[in-house]
Amino acid sequence: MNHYIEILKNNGIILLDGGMGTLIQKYNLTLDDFDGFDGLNEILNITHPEIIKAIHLKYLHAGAMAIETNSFGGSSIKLKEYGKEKDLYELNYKAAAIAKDAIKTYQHETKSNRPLFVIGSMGPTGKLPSSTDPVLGDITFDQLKEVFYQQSKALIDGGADVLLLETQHDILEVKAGIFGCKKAINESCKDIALQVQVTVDENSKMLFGTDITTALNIVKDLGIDVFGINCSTGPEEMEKSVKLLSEFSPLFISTIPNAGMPVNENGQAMYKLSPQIFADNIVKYIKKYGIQVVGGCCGTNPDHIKAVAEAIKDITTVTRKEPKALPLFASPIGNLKEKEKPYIIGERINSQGSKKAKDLMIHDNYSDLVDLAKDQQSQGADLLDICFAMTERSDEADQICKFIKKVAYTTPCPLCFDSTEADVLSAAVKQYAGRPLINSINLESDKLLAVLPIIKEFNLSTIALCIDKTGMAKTIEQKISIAKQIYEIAVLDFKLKPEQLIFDPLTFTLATGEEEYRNSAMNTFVAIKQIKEELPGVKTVLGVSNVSFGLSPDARKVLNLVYLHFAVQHGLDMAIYNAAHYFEVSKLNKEEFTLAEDLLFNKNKNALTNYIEHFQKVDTGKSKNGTVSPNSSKIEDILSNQIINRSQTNLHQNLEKAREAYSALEIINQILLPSMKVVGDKMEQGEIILPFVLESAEIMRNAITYLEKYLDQSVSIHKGTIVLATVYGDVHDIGKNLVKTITANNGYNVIDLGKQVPVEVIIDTAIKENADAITLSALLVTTSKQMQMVVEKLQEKKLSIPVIIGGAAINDAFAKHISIVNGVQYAGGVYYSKDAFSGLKILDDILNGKN
Amino acid sequence: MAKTRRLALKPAIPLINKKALYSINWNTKNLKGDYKTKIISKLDKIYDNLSQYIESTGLKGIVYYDEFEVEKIEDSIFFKNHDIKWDLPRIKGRCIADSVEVNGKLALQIVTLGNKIVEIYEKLEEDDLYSLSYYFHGFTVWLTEALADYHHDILHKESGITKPRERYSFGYPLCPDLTMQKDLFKLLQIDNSHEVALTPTFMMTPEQSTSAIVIL
Repeated sequence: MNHYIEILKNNGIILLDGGMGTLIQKYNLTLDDFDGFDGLNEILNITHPEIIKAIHLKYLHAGAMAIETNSFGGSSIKLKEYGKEKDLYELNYKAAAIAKDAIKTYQHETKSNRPLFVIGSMGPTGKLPSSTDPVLGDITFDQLKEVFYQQSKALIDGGADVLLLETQHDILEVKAGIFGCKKAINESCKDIALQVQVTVDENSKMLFGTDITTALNIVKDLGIDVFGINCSTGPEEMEKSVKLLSEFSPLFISTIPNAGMPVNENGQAMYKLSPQIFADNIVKYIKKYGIQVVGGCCGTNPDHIKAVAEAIKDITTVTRKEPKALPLFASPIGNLKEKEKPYIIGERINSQGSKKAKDLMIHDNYSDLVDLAKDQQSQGADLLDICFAMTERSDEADQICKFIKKVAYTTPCPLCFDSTEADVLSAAVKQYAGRPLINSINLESDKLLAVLPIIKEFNLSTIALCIDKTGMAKTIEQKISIAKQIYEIAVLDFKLKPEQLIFDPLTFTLATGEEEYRNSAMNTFVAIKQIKEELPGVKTVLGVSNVSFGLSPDARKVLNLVYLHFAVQHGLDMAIYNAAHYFEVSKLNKEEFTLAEDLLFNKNKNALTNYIEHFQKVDTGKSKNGTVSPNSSKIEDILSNQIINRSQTNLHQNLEKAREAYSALEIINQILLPSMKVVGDKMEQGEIILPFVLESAEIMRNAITYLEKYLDQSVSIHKGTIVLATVYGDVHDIGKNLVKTITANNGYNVIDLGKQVPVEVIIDTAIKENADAITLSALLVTTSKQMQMVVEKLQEKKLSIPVIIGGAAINDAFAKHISIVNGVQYAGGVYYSKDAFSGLKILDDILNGKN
Repeated sequence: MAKTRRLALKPAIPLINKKALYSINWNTKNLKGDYKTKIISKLDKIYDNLSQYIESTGLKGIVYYDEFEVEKIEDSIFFKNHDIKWDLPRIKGRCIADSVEVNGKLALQIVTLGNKIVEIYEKLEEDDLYSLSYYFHGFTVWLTEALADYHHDILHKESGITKPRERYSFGYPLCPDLTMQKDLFKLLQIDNSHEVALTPTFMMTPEQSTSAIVIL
């Protein structure tokens, strides 16, 4: 066993060192000491190894048992910021080697034989895989795994005894990091411990809102030894988190605080907590909460470590209560909340079960799918089933990942990935920062053998359907037999725990009245009970709404609810269900409950007919209530205000409302465009600033994009087409982009050719697109000559497309000047536009003149 | 070959000319009274968010620079061993050559935020995040200037000279001739391997780049 872990298993304490950066600063190094790489502390492993060694020695003399290598920012991603990624191996190898060397020197000098360890430190990469930001979020699980694998490998080769992922902000990066570290550890064939520390604020939350118990739950079964917190706050502010870890963690706990909260002094963060108070807090956490790995982060120095070493020298044994269990599922922002059974798995984000969801998926409308997730949560769903499988598209894995990225942090409901394809499940599991449920495995094909390794690797739970090669199990015996076979493979061969299996004994519709299925609900009820009795520890689930497939909506709601009620009575744990339709069964009309019960338990031959007839009566009664006509005059004002006051709230719903009275084209022409005109006028009068106009344009763009699907493709919604460019030799495109935004959101089709566009390209495109005008931008006098060349070329080709020009060096006189070519006035005309709005006005005038 | 430095952007942020950014780029020039105060406090938040964002990306500013020995004859500067001569204009009695010793030296520097900044801006445009891309553009343009200022300060300290700092950029009255940037690129030996380039009209790409003569 790794000696580090052995000490912890024997209830001992490990004291780490303190801050590295703080001590480096004291050497007053110059930019040249860093080889010109400002802030790249790891370069000192090459340029000044003696300084790093001296710092390690200070901590060893202060009493530290484990020293962290100078490699916090040594990931390939961090090094790439300096163009130094090629030196990754050397920088990290040396970091570990220097620490190892310091330990040797210390042992030689002091003749001490106390156990000492090298901790390979790995800080965050600076990327945030959970983020939707184009730069920060632009990284995959596998890429991050590789990044940490590379760094781990060098640290292990250099002599690290423990790998440490620390100061981590994004739990998804932590997951990937753990897999990278484990790969390096396995390859090394050495006994290396793995320690993970996240950074939380005073409220125990990580950067994206993951709280400490959720973070613990997400990583605790991934094969790590120590889990804890470091940085961000001083020891006092960590108490809440330490207490929670003490209560729930089955792993050893580390607590590495800063020397107090940072105080801003002349723009520098200063840490002022005294060594004695620091040590007092650490001792309190060891005694009160059973923390075993301690040390110091930012602002701590050898004095702090010395004070802790003094204070703990008489503590021989650290103890802690047996930790409480955590649920098997977590979203990145919360563990599954405990409640009375059944847990509801919201069923609506499913391409197979919901036409609405499928339409949204086909059109890549992820934001409305996110709304669907939020709706289900507010209606009481505990988990959310996600299924993107469909024949219309072939990018299931890609789609589900895009959606996961958008939805993961918006709901505390853990996700349930619903697919039969192993590659889809693997991609989804890697994209999701939480602890998901897999839906599902069965014995129909060998796919089971592709999916189980993923479940094992990530230690997840899975739904197991009672289906084998002969098809769906209908009898009780078939259901039990298949459940047992799956149990054997999963628990005996793949070493899953029984609690990781959730059996679905299958639901069949009762709406056909076929003899074969009349007892199917009863069979399922009995199977639930027997599976749980014969396979202790496993759980059960049902796809409830299948039972009523084919009935009218009201009839379905009642039958589903009564079916669920009896299933729970037989021991059901979870249900895939429409959360909006879930309520206390006691609230049902007694007559309807009895009719449903008769049908479910096949109590008489007419049960189905009676049930259907009852709901037909109810349905006719309801249809007498007339619908309320939409208040059309109001919706115009609401939409208009949204554009003018820049509000995205309920935009799509409001557009839907407007569509009850207007066509999509009418909404654009009669409501949206006039509102944009108001915005332009306000800008002209100095009432609002330009960026606000752009925000209005964003609402306009969103509205038009939404309405596009309702527009008659044969009718153009455009007033005209313009070709837009920054001229050749000019790199400034902010002005051009403003013109694009304003014209495109005021009814024009804009062909944007970008910047540095040659004359020929501009003219050829204008001809090809049958442009109503050419609009050109240039910043400097030198490049504005290109505008003249465009006009000359147009004249030469005997064309008469109007040219609108703008830019800092352009004015009316210049426009007049270049409109005369060889003494002849250019027929299309050249117009000077002082800004995007006057450009829009000129365009409108040109087109009106034409018409 | 020019010396290269990659600098953290955080220390340059406080040097941004906020007044110019707000008034010129963010369009507050013509606002008045309470409304102006209200808008400025909104912009302050955006400014802080952009500062934090830039910091969080870990992007580095890149500086290419070197020192050159020069000879001054009247209003012209000769770069020794390079066969390059710059004739500098005298505007209202002032000429850059006045600050240079007869046999002295000066530094040339190019500061750029690199191609990643352009990628981010283009992604924002592509995603129709019009206002954010607009704020981002103005902020990064002024951040480039701030970084030039920041590195100028470093050069000034390293040289140990005590006279006030002087730095002149191309395209402004005292050094108006953009074609001189061709010589600048030649002197610093900037080629395809660097993260800045010159257009046929002697402007630099990415737009978030700025060059200068630094008096030593």
